Amino acid sequence: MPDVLSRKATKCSILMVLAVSALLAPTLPVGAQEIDEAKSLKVKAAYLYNFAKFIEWPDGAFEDEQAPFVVGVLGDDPFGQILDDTVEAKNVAQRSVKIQRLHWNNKADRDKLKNCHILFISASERSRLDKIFAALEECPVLVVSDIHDFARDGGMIGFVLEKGRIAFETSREALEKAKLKASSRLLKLARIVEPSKRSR
Amino acid sequence: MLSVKDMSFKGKMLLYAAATTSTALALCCVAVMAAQWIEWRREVPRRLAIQADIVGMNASAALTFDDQESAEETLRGLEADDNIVLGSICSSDGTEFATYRRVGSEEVAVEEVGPSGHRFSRSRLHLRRPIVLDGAEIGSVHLQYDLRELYGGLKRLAAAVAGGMLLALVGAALVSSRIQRVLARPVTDLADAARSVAEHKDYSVRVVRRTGDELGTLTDAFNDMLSRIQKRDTALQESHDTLERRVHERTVELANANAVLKTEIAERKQAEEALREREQRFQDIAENAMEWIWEIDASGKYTYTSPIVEELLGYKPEEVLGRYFYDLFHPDDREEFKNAAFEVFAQRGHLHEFINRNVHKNGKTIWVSTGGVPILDEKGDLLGYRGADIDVTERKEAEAALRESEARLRTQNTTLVELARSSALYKGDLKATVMQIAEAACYSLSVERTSVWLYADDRSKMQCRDLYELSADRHTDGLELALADFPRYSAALEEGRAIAAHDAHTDLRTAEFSTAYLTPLGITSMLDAPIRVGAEVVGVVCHEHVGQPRHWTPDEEYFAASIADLVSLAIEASERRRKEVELRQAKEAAEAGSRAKSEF
Repeated sequence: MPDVLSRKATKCSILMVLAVSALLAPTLPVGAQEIDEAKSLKVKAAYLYNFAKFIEWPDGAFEDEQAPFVVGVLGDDPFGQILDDTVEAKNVAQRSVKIQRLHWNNKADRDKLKNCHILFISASERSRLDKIFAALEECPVLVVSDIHDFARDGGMIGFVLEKGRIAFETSREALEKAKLKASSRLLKLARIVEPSKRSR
Repeated sequence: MLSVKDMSFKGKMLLYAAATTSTALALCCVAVMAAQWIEWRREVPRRLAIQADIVGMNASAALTFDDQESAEETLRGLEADDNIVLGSICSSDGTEFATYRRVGSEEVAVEEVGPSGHRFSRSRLHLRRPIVLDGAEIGSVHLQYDLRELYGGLKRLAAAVAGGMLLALVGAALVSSRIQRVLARPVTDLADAARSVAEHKDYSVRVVRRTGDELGTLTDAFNDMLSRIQKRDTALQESHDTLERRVHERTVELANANAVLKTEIAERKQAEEALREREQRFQDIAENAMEWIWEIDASGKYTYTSPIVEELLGYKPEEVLGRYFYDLFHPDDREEFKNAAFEVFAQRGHLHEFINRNVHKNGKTIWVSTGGVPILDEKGDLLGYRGADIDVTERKEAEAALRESEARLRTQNTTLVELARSSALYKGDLKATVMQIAEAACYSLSVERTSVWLYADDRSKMQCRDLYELSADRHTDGLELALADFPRYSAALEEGRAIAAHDAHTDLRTAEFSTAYLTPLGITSMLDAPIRVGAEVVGVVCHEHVGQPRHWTPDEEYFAASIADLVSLAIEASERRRKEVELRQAKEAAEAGSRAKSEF
C-alpha cells in the first residue's frame, strides 16, 4: 500500500514541476528582473527597519516612551507596500513603527523631516541632498539612501550593491554629527567611508 | 583464608583503620567525583552557551544584514577554543548561514538538540542558542563541543583523587600502625602473659601497667587475679599435700580397720553361727518342750508363742499372737489374776509359779503354772515379759481330789467318831447301833443302800440285820442269803479287808449277785467290808451304789472297813455290855486314834 501511494506522489510532483516551469518559462528573464527588484526592495526595507536595532538615538529624539518610531520616506516611494509589510506589527525597542511619506515640496513635510528617526531619501531627491542635509543638520535622524556615493556625500548609510547582495556604506562623521551612536556590529558590516569634500 | 575473628589484635586494629580510612576516602572521592560531574555537566553547557550567546550577538548584525563573510569572521573567533568542533549560525528558518568547523572535522554536521537547548552525545556536547535582536529571535547559534579533553580532565582528576586516596591510605596505615602498636601493646602484653600462664602454669607472671585507660584497669585486674590465683594455688598445693598425707594416713588406718573388720566379720560370722545354733536350739526346745514358751509386750499382748499352746489351750499360735494374756484366763479369775500380774509387771518382778486358771478352746479349765522374767531395754524400760507355762491341771485336780478326799476323810472321821460315841453302842444295843451305823455310813459314802449282814450260827447263811435305803430313808431287815450260792464272794470275804467292786457286774467277786440281785435293784458298784470278831469273819457290811458305776477310793475302802469294825465292836459290846464298858471306851478311843492313823 505505501508503495502505491509514493508512486502516486512522485507522479504528482513531476506534473507540478512541469506545470510551474511552463508557467514561469516565458516570464523568466523579465520576471527575474522584477523578482530581483522586489527582492532588493524587500531587503532594503528590512535593512531600514533593522538599522534601528543597531543605532542609539539620543534622549531627545523621542517625546516619551510611547512615542512611535518614525520611518520617513522622502521623495518617490520606491517601496510601496513592501515597507508597510516589513514594519507591520513590528516594534523597535518596544515602540511601534510609523511610516511617513514626505515630499520636499511640501513645507509641512519639510518640518516633519526632523521628527523622523530614520529617513530614506529616495533617488528622486538626488539633487536636493545638500538642502536636505542642511535641514537635518545635527538632528538625530538617520538618513539612508540608495543614491550612489550617498555616504561620501554626507549621508549616513548608503546602500550599495556588492557581489550580488546589498551592502552599505556608512559615514561615521555623519553619524556622530547627528549624535547617533551606531553599534560596532553594524559598523563592522558596513564599509566605512570618508565624506568627500566634493559636490557641495 | 584467615578469618577476621582469628586475626591478631594488631591486625584487627590495622584492618579497622584501613577499613574506616578507605571507606571515608572512598566516600569522599565518590562525593567529590560526583560533585565534579554534576558541576561539570551543568557548567560546560552554561559556558558554552555564553560563548554561543557572544557569538550570536556579535553575528546578529551580520545575520540581519545578510553578511555571510562577517558572520564567518565572527565564528572564526571560536578557533580559540580548540574543543569547539563546530560553530554554526542559522537563520530563523534553520538554514545554515555561516559555519565554522574545526580543522579536521569537515564532515561534522549540525545536530538536533532537543527542548533543553543542549544534548550530550557520547563525546560531544551539542548546544543551540537563539540569536535575539530587540526581543525577536532572528536565528540561532549551534555549537558542537568536543568533550574528550574534559573527559580526560575528569579522568586525570579521578586518577589524582585515587592517587591521593592511596597516599592517604598509606599515610593512615603508617600512622595507625604506629598508633596501634602503642594501643595494642597492653593488649598483646596481656595476651602473652595469659598464654604464658596457661602454658607454664606460672602464676608469678605480672603485666606492666602502661596506660591509664580501661586497658590499664584490665591490666591491674589481671595482675590482681593472678596474685590471688597464685596465693590460692599455693594454698591449694599445701592443702593438696596435706590431703595427700592425710589420705595416706587414712589409707593406712583404713587398711588396719579393714583387717580388724575382716577379723570382726569372721568373729561375727562365728557369733552368727553360734546365734543360729542357739536359735535353732531354742526353737527345737521351745517347740518340743512340754512347757508353753511365750513372750508378751508391755501391754500384755502375745508376741511369741511356741506351738505347744495348741495342745495346751487348743488355740493355734496364730490365734494367740496379738491377744492379751488375760483373755485366756477363766472369766471368774480374770480381773484378779490380771491385776496380780500387772502388779508384778510394775515391779519388774519375776513371775514364779504363778498359778492361773485358763480356759481351753473347748471350754475346759486348764490350770497353768507361769514363770516369767521381764524384758528390759538398755534404759531399763519394760519391753515385755517372757516365760514358760506348765500345765498343772492334773496336779490341781489331784490337789482338788486330795482336798475332796480330805474332806471326805474328815466327814468319815466325824461319822466314825460319832458312831463310836454312840450311846447305843455303849448300852450294847446292837440293833440300834447297827441301824445308826448303816444310816451314817450311807450318808457318809453317799451310797443308796447300806446293809449289815451277820452269819448265822452255822455259817451257811447270812442274815440282814439292817438295810438302810438312803432315798427312801427306810430301815428294813430280815433278808437272808445262802452263802453256798455265792462261793467266790464268800471266799473273797475271808481273804481281804474289803471288796471294792467298782463294777459289780464284772468284778468276779461280786458277779454272782449280778442277775438276781444287782440288776433288779440297779446296783452298779459294791463296797463290802467283812465284819470280824476276833479272827473270824462274822458278817459283812455292804454298801451298794445305784446309778453310774462308781470308783471306790482307798479312803472309802478304809471307811467301809472301819464301819465293819464298828459293827464288830457293837457286837462285842453287846456281848460284853456292862462288863467291858470302860474297856470298850478305851478300845474305841485307841481304835479311833489308830484308825485315824491307818486312814492316813
